[in-house]
Amino acid sequence: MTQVLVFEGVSKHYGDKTALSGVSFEVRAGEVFGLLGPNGAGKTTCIRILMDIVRADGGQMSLFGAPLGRDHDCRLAYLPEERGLYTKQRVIDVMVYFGKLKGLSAAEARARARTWLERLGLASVETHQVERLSKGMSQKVQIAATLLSEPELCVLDEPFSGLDPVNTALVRDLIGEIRASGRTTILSTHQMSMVETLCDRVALLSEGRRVVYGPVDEVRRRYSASELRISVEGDLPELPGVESVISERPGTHRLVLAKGADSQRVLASLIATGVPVLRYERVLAPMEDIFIRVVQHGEDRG
Amino acid sequence: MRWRKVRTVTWFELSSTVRRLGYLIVTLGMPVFSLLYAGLALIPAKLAKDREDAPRIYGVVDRAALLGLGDGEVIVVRSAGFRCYGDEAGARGALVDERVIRSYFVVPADYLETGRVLAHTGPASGLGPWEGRAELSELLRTRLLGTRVEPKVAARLLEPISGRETFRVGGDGQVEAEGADAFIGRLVLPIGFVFLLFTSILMSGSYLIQATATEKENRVVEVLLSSASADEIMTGKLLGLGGAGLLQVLIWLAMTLAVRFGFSQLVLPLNVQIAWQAVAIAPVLFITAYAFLGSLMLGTGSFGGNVRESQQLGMFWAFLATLPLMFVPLLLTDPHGLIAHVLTWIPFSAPATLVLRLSLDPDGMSVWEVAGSLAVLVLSTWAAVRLASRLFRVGLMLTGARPSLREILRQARSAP
Repeated sequence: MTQVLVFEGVSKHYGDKTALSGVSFEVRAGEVFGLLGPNGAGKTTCIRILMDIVRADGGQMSLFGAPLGRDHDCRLAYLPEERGLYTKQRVIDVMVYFGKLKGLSAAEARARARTWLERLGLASVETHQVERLSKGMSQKVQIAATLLSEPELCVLDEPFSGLDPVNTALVRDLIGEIRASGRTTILSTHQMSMVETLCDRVALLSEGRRVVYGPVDEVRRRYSASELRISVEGDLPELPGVESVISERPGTHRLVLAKGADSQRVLASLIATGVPVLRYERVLAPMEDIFIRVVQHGEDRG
Repeated sequence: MRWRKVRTVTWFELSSTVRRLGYLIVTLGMPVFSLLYAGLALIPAKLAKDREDAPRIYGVVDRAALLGLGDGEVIVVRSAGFRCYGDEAGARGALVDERVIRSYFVVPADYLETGRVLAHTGPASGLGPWEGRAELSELLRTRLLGTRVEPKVAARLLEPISGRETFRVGGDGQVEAEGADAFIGRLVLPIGFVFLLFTSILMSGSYLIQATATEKENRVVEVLLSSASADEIMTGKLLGLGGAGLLQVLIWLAMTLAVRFGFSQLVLPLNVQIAWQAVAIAPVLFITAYAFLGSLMLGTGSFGGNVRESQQLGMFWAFLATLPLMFVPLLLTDPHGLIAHVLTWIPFSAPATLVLRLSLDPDGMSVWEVAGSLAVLVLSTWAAVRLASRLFRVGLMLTGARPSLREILRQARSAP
């Protein structure tokens, strides 16, 4: 898969404070890459380096196969965490301005802005001043302005913050559409359920260092205990290799396997008992648990 | 620098500023306000003139018998009338009881020996007891000269210079006649230039700082910086908001000229003479000085946390820019003196000084001095723009507590 962005041993200091210390990761074309971490972990610094807003003190970086720099800024779009618009301007004028800064002609930017406003149900506020919009409307206008230029790489920093469930679903679908169109997204969010739903791979930063990195499923497996969730008709028989059983609800049980036990053998034993098996799955640790275990308790599983 | 991005920022800043209600009110309202103010100021002047036209009457008691006037006789000198009283009691009654005179003077018997005159003020004495002194002096001079000297000599003694003719000797020795007000005429360009430059800088600087602080407050800075470089944004702002400020000044200038030509009788008809050297260099100096001061204002103004703070930081440069105005009297009296030479080489004062010196005496400045001063100004402008764009980038991204000067400079050095 083509690498869109590569960070190799990147470091950045602000005075005595270390913002990034030898951070490495790569973002591949067409994926949704989760850039995760607690507040102050260095996510925004990574993004600002990528956007050429601040310069790294050390390390190697490449974007679209070339060194970082201003040549790429029409292929990128950035929705910062601290959002804002020109409050005294009309909605359409702000969108056209941002579109023109990304290299669109005025006519093209205007046409695309109208399409986006229509799609987001904001056509009626096209000529309104931004300060007249509700917070949710402003958020949607800003997301639309970010995606207006159909960038090859979208960097979305907390795109769900402040959105109600309906608009959260809308933005989630938009990110899905970006991936479906073969374009790449870097998603920075604290909503771990969204990471599980949307991201292909993640890098988790803590205190300026990369502490977790890899495909989401693999990371979850890495941090999961040997547990199975099964649903059966009737009572659950005693099974070899199972250390303990936690009943979640009638017919559904979580089996904690003994060290070295093989989950496939447990399944075979269960089927051999003749009890009808309705559901069988390996229990993966939620990203939220992993986040807390790594960041708060310093758990390291590579 | 990508000029397409600069153009986009320029047009956005210009169009959004000139459409603002505040801008329109100030641009179109200021001349109307100024006219109203001038109209109001004319009222007391007109009333004072009406009072001046009616002769002011003073009493005079002539104990030295110099004036040759009988009791009750009145003599008018310019706008003052002097009524003669035989004694002080009569003058006092006229001053206090009848109130027909504003004050009265007593010319003592020993006036020729001492030159003493006693003035007496009363309840309606206007500007004080010595209000009619100039006219009384003229009356006394006329009477003293009397027939003692020839009428021509007397006339010259009373008004030694009654007709003025002016000539100008050029660098090539050619003598040319010019109006007595030609000197004032030569000041029209430099004064207009200085007015235009400082008004533009103050107006545009205010817009620049306001726009930048608003962007910080509205949190659109990161979006902008992810789409265009700090250099491009700063240049676009300088051009767009400078254009808005200049447009405002030009509208005021056009309105002033319209009034000037519409009501020319109200304005002194000046014999305007402008040195071509000053005309040629003025636009270059204007643009360079604006870029120099505007970028410094923007660079430092970007460190403010809000509009007011930004204005306080940025307007420091506007204050420095007005410094040459304090030296104008010195430059007028000695356009090629030491102070003038020093001011010519300082970037803050060079534009105004150069235009003033070239307007007053273009032949008095050597080509190398003009070229050298211009070179220093251009180099300073280049350095100011470079420094300001780095400060601008650091300032824009700044939130929370302001870092130390050392940290600001360190960040500015490492900015992309």
